[in-house]
Amino acid sequence: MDRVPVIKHAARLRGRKSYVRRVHHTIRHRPQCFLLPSHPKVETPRGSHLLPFAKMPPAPNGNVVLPSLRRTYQAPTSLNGSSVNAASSGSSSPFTQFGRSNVGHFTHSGSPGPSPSLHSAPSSHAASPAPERAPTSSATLSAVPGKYNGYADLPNQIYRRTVRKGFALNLLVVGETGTGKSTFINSLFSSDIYDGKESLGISNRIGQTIQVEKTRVTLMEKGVQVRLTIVDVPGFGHYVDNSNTWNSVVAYIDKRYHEYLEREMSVKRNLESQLDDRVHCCLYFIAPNGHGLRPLDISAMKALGTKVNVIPVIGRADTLTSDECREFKEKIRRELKEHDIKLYDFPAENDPDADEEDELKPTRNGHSKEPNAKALLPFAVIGSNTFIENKDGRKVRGRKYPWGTVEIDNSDHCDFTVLRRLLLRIHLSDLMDVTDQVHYENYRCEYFNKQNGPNARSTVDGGAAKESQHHQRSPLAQLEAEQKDMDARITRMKTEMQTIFDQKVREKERKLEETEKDLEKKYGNWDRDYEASGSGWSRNAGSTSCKKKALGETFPNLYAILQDELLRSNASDTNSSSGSPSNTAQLGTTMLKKSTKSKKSFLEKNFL
Amino acid sequence: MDVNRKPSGVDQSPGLSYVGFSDLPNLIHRKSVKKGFEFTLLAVGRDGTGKTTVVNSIFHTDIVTDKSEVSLKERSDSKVVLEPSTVELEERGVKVRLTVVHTHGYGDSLNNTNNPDPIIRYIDDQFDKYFADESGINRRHILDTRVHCLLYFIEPYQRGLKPLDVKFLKAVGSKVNVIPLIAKSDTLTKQELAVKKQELARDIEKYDIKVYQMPDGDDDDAEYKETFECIKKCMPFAVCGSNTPIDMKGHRVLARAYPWGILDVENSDWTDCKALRTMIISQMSDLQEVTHNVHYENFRSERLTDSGRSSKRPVDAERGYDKQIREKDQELKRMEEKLARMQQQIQQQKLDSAPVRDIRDSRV
Repeated sequence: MDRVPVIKHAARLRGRKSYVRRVHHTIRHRPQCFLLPSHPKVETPRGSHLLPFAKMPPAPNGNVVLPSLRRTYQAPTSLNGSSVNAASSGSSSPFTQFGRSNVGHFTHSGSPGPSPSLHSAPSSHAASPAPERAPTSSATLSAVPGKYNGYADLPNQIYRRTVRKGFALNLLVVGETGTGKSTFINSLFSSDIYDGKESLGISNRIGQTIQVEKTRVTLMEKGVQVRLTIVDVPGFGHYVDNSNTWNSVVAYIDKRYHEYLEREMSVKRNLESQLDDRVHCCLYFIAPNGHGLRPLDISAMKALGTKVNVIPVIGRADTLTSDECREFKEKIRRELKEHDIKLYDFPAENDPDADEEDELKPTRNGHSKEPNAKALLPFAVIGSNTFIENKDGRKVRGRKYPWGTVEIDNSDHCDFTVLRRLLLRIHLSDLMDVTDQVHYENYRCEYFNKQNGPNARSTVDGGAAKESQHHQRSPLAQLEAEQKDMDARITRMKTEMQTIFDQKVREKERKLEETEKDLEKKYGNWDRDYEASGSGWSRNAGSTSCKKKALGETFPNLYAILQDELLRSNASDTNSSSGSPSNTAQLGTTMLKKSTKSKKSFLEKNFL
Repeated sequence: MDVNRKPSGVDQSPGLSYVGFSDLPNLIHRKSVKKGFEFTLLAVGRDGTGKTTVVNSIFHTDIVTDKSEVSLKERSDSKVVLEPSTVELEERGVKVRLTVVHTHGYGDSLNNTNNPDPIIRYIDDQFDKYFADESGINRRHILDTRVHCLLYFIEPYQRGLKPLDVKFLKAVGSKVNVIPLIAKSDTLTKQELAVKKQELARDIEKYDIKVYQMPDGDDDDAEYKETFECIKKCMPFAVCGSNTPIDMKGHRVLARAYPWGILDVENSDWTDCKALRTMIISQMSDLQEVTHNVHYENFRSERLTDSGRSSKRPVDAERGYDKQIREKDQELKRMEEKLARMQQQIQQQKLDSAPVRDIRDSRV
């Protein structure tokens, strides 16, 4: 019928008859799904729930409902006159109406190809919002029918969910006292997270041993909430003996991983409701001494680099001139490479929002316009959260010296803007991903290995441990291991079977021996008796009489019986002709006769 | 007394007899010019605090030229290396033999508990050497290599004194004149600098650290008093050194060029380099005196009492030695007595044999 061409087309597309029905079914509701091979890409700006469709090209055939959103239905009014009207007056559900109208449209045109028919329809249709129908909702949605499905809205859904849920950012700041960590954090987030620390006096905060301190704040920007946790280590590098000061930091990081692991492994878990507590990024502050890294820096960064994303930062960089800064950075980069320290790898930049952040001027280090993150590592930063007036009279954040004013937002002066941009605007999600997929997984593997090692029979982790072990091994190694297993099993089975076989053989032999013995016992005597008797009952002619005699001796009863029977048989022969063998005794005798006869014959056969 | 003799440059009031010993300081002055001065300076601080630069800019000469690139491996082995370098400076005929001892690796290793030891040992060695020379026979040409002044460079980031600083300064304060400095002061704004100086002064008092104090000048020397007050205000000094001469307003000055400005190191509003230089140079002889009279004497008395008193082994040895001497004396005495007795015996024998002859002699 009318639907036939459609179905056929769909069937051609899918190639399955069973599918046809489904296709047929869905055509009612979403004709455009299968009619057109492609639909134009729709740009959906962020934000409003209603806006995405404003950008779409106006529908040539008027306002059309998008099935995914169930918006106002504006039926194509002047489309093919009567059939449409008939359709539109029908059911309340917009989709079916639409479907039918489309189908009706097909009937009208009667053309086999779906797309041309669709396209031809718009030409006959006035592309105006139908005056006789007022839009029931405020938004007039226009779409090219068959060209937009709504999948493009999915990122928006995720966006909205993230906004609603909020997210957690955990930063770890490590470095010697006075390298400007607190000030930097304040200026990074443009708020006084650490305030009044100056007045407290650091000597009050530093105790006998290294303590890890956590500061938690909730920040809000443009409706997005972030729960910021800054982890600080006061007294790092302060003591006379600083070996293993990073142990407490590493322990803290591991603890967060462990908590997350336990939450993940528990039976009832609410991973979505709880925010991520793991450390996402570690900013390591290097003191600007101009000579390179210190042994403490090397050891600490080595230990932390395998656990968390480490970004090295030169604090208080206003003590270095441009040349010194460049040399210092080169030296640090060389030493980092030499000691094989793992740092966070900034992924290749594709900057989606180049709207606000300007063209970047050449930075202090004489690099080109694009902030190539790797070339600027380690970032030389200055922190300040106080506004001062610079020589132009503008109010900027910076530090005022008698010989000049340093502005932290000026990329000529320091790398603050670059670091902020990379850290917060571009790579924030990547940091979280790397923490989740790389560092956390490493921790998990290590944890299970440890579990598996000492106690191999742990039931809870056994399966998971084996799994992780398998994950860990390379496929080749795995194959080899399996091969070895198989071989071992085979040899075991072989030996087992061999032993069983041997056992059986031995048993059989034993039994045969026993039977042999028995037989020997039974019939061996005959030989002996025969030989003992000396004559008769032997194979030779001369010995038959001996045998007979011997037999007679051994089986005296038998002989007697035989004789009696012989007599009786002679006697009964005469009787048997007359009498009937009803008498059991007679029967018995006849049987006995038979038996005796057979016995006789047997004996005669064998021993004569 | 030759009244007519006119001493050089001394006002003679007529009628007063002039002795002439007021010329003595001039004579000493001339002698010292001929002899020359010797001055040793020890610069201690963490790597990167600008010790080389500051020392060079104090004396306006490149004293320490080689910035030996100590590799990280060596640094982490917690070795403190001391490098003395000597320069002979001359100004207007006055010769100064300046020795600057540089330290590498101080406070940079993971475990810094042993870091003060090499430095203290060096100071003691110099004292020892001088002591040995002084007790020797030929005392004419004693080279004074004792450390006259120790510049301690404190990082500008730390608030107050760190435990390592306290430990070192306490150990060294009784041996050497210590001058604490805030290094790399260009990181600090004026307010921060004031706060830091206060904190430092408070910590020095709190831990009872001996720091070199300038002597009070005579009351009549007003100029000296002024500079003295000026310098006193600046203590502890906040220094920032520079080796690069930059053209600024037509002059060539030692300065640091930042993107946001040029820092003139000599400007006394910005850094205390000038004050430090004034102090060291003007007080050079005073530093030497204090070293000689106070620190060296302390060392000497300690050394001598130590050797005479408490350590058991040397005393035992001495006792043993005395014993031997006494024994030997006794032996000697015994032998002397024996000899005396033998002599007496011989004499008696002689006497016994002698009178026979006398009678015969007298008959003739």
